[in-house]
Amino acid sequence: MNIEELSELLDRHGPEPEAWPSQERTPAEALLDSSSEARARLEESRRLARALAAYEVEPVAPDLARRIAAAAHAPAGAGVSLPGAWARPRFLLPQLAGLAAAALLGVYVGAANLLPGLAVAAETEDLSDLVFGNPELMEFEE
Amino acid sequence: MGERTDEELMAGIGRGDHGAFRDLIDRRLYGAISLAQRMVGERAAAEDIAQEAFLRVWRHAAKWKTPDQGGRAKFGTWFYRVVVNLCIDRKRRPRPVPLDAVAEPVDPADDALTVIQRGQVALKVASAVSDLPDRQRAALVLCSYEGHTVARAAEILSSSERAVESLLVRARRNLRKSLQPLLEKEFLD
Repeated sequence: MNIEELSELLDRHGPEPEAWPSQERTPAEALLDSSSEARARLEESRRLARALAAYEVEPVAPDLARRIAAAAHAPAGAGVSLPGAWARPRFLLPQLAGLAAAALLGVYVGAANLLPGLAVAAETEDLSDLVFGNPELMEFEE
Repeated sequence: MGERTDEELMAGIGRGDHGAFRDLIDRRLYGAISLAQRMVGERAAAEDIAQEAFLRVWRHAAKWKTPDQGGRAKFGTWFYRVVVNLCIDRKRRPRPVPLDAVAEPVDPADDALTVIQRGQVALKVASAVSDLPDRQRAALVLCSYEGHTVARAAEILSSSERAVESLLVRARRNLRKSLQPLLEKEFLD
């Protein structure tokens, strides 16, 4: 194994030897024993792993599971909201303000016909995908 | 009586068993949210995505088939695939990583400076992860954060193991490049 192959191994599987494929582990460890450059690459990989580990995710709020279950059981059109939709009212005003601003801009642009190319561009997008989501999401065992 | 498997819970949910649905949510909710949050970089969006994924479970459970019954994927594989695809769909509208994208450090032994440094590192990492192309980010989050093997990540992403390995290589190289100033700091020693 050479230095580039070791770098590739580290980028594929990370810095922990336990995660390396068994057939690559022995040659990689031999290279690490004999090469300071190899050890520098391993340290670089460890530092990246430590940085990534700093990105933690908070625990789930105690009542979130109950709210999700309630939303699923609610009759269609009953208006049970997404967990975040009404629980974070501080975000609501900026969103409404943004919506209003966008609407006003849309009326102005439409009236002035400032962006004649926009309609053509929109037609080239897969609107069903935008409206209904990625078709792969609907994949299910029938 | 032992704990029911995901597939047994799905069978129960298909019969309208609310308790089975709640058990499945309790089992899978944190995994769905942690995956989604690192994919979209925003807690509120991650919770919405998790909810949407569970709604699909509830609506489609009656049609669920295990691999033994002719289905193509185990529940966990299918469920994570749904979450990843919902995230990619959401991520088409790029936004800056907000402060709620990272958790507050919780180690009570940390001094104030360490807490601040760790928070800054976390924000920079969150931003760099968020900037990765969709499939690189998905491969990295599934393998580095969620602890899936390359083989399992390949199943979830409907891809080959070789392709996932290639995504991981490119993701880590991109991260090393974008995080280079951070990686040179003593804090990570």
